[in-house]
Amino acid sequence: MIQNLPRHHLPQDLLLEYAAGTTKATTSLLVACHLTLCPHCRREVSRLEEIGANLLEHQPDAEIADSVLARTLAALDTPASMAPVRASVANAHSSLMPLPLLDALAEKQAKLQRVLPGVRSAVLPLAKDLPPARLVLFQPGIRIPSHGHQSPEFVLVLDGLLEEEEQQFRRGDVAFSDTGKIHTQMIGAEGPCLALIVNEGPITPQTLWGKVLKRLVGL
Amino acid sequence: MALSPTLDDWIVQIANTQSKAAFESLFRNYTPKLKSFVMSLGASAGAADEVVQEAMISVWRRSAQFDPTRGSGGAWLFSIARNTFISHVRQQKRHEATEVDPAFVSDAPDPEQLTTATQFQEQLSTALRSLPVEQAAVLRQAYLLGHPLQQVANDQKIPLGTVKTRARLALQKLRTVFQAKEPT
Repeated sequence: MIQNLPRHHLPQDLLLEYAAGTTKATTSLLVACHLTLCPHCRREVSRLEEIGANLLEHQPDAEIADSVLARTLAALDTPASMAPVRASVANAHSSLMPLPLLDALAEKQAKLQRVLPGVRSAVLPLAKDLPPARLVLFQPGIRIPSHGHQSPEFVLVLDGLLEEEEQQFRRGDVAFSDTGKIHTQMIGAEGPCLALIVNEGPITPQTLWGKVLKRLVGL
Repeated sequence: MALSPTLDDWIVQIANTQSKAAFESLFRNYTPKLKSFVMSLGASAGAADEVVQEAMISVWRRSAQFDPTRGSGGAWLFSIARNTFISHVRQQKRHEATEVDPAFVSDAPDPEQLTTATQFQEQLSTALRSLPVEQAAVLRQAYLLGHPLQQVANDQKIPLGTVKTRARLALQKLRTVFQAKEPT
């Protein structure tokens, strides 16, 4: 089967932070979802983990008491505790969602709810000090008005088409807007667009409609 | 010192025969570095012992998931230690892509990786040593101190853009090592 591979990838410095384990909770969810769909970025993360392994390898030896080995050996024969059963969040769109997203939706019991005509959103508050990640379902042809960013924004398209400045973003693609960027986005007319949206900080809408969207959708 | 050629063998032995001897060898050879790494990330000695213990239990339980065609045993061990630190000490959830996911888009494994992992890590060591000091410093702070790039910028009192440029230049130089390994 020929699968369409993403063409718009994550910035390399973000993959570096993900490999080093320092990405914020919401961003880390988006990275994991993109990696599920993108062999190219997975290879990149593997390389970055090889670098981590190399730096680890050159660490000095710390002292480990024999009791740690003894405790570890004793624990090996204890069966692993069962992973928590994932509460079902099955809906019409579940099959489009990578597992990390389904897990987060189940954990937060978040469901797509109508927030505006043509826009449904599920809110994922993953950390106290961060704006929540949002799963958003746009009906075809919706225009997202001009807005700016005080921090990076990532939009991972899971279905449908998002257009911005002549660029097209489809399943697996990430539309990345760096701090300071002001932009307008458009949902393709061909069908609904499902997207995971992560803002690492506040955004600055340029219009009244934008202010409404910011509050309700986080865009 | 390069990555021991036996690390991958030990992991495979644990997976195939549940060998406690192999596990003990791996433990004795690698946990002193793992502990040092976890303490460098910010754990106390006591917490680091717990992370090491948890990580090694994961090694035992997940050894069958190790795929030498997708990366070295060192990288696998690094990712387990990193994830255990994140969940145990930072108390955060680590989100990861998994191959069992029906949405997972697979690709062909790289057959070259198996034969060259050790030699490759040696070349990587050389390349890392030859990086300009300020570029190597960014990588060390990111991986070993667990600092986000913004924090690296704050600590060094330089703009975030400069940190990102240094990281990019460093990775560009290291990329030549990876490309030599992946004849695509």
